[in-house]
Amino acid sequence: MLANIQSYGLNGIAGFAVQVQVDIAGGLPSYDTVGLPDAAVRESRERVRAAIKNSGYAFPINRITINLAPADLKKEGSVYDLPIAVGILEASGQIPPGCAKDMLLLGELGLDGSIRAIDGVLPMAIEAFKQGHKTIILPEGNAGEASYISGARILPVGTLKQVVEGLCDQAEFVPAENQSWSATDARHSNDFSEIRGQQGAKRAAEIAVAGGHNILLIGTPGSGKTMLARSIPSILPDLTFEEALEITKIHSVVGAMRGQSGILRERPFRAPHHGASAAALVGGGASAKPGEISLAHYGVLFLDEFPEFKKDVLEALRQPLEDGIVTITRANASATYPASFMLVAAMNPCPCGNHGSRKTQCRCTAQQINRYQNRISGPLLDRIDIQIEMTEVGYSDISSKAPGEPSAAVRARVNRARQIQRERYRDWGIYFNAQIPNRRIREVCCLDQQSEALLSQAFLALNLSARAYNRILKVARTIADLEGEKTTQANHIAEAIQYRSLDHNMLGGV
Amino acid sequence: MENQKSGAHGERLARAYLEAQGFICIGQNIRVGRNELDLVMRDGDYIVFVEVKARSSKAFGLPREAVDAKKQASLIRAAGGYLAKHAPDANARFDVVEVDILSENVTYIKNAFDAGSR
Repeated sequence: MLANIQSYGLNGIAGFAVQVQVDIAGGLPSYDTVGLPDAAVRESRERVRAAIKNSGYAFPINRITINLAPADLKKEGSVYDLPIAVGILEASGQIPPGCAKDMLLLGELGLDGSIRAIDGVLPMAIEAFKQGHKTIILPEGNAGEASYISGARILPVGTLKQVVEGLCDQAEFVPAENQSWSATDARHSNDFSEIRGQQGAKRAAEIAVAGGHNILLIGTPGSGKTMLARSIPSILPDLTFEEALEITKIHSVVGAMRGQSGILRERPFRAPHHGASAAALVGGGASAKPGEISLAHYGVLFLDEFPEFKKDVLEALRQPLEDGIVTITRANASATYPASFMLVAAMNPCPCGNHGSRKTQCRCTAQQINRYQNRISGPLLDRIDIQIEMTEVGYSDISSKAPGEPSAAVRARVNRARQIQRERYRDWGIYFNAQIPNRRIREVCCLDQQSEALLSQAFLALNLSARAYNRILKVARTIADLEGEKTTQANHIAEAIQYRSLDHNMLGGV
Repeated sequence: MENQKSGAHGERLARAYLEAQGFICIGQNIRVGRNELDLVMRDGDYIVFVEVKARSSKAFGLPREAVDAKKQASLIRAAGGYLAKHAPDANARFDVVEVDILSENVTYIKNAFDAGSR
């Protein structure tokens, strides 16, 4: 007898339909799995056998052949345990034929017949639903993620017995309730009001967050670079549902959603140590898994001690910084992941850290300083829209009793600016200014004569590149959005130019 | 000589035991090429290839332990040859019966192993 069960597979975060075909025939008892299974799929034999037996059903003593179609795509992981088990039960006549034909089955089996959570359920469920699978049976532990897909009938199950009884109409499946989205007010350990002084840097951070621009903080030790960066999550704009789904998909693939209920409600803040390898940062490994930049999608990638990262690691960031996506190609796998992140980098101006300090003398030679700063290459620096120098905070600022502006107030402004951007780009398929494609910049940044003159002057004086020119326009657009202005004006351009002043005459000129 | 005799005695005991369970014997000591099938029986829809292991002492471990990967492989080859000739599409399985010669105790292991997997 033959049984056909619908299941799903993943390649990166893109999914493909998998048909689990089970054939039971006479002959010597054997069990073959074909259709490019990996080790985890092959091992399913032992889990399936034990789970069927321990759930009170009979494992057929026959020649069992399992085909995972399409046969030329690699199948990974334990997601096919449940469809295989149900297929074997159907093919051996223990459940009525065709009773699972309108359903998609996903899940790993334990030896006792329990159904265990798997990775990557959200991308699979979203893609499957788009392809017309309305009913999805999946592990209880994954119900939270999938229940946000409105219109889909999600049936969470805990044991194989429960699935069989549901399919045989001996018991009812209990569908998971469709959850509606709400962004949460997360508590953050750092708040903007705790940062003394550094008004300029705070303003720069606000602009960067409002438009999703990259920012480089350069400053002496103890000037508050790390503190500022760590409080950036507290002013990040609220997550929209579409963004949350996209982020959760990526996190689901690497298994970060295990044990979490539902989908991510906060923008990610990733802060890898500077020992990170290129594969860890941009993604890689034999199966082309996403890296930190994709996990920071729609959030912040914070690289502290920027020049301490290995050269090749930093240069690997260039392409994704520009395109917002990254394609990882390995001998056995290739995957494209979104990587629209906001880069926050922090560095000292020189090896001893005191170059440009008002208090402490720098001990470095000009050559040392040069070598240190050259670790950040021109093309990389070119992609950082906002570069800001921070020096020590004065005593009056530190001892000041007046509290600074709280994060909530800043976030309110950021949210307002993001709202304006979302409405403007509704038909463009993007969400914020940093994503504007270069060819469409002129549609949203109209310059008057005065701004045009200012920009042409800066272009010559600062030796700007064409990329820097475009990025100045985008930052100016964000500054205008923060002020609620419809057009970019000279003062917006001027402020945006000022954030690039470190570009070529480099740092420490204070 | 002594061992061969005890082996034949074990097979008689095993066959009697299985026939009491409703099995029908359709062959005994069947040679297929270099390999031998101790008992071939019919159990309902199934053709059952029975390997009988008789021991008079536990000094060499349990009898069933003697049905190792090598022995299984030779049984699978023999069974394949037998089925191809007599009943290509029949359901089949491998059972093991171990017999303690001294106490005449019979232990029956149904579906002891299968023809492997990939």
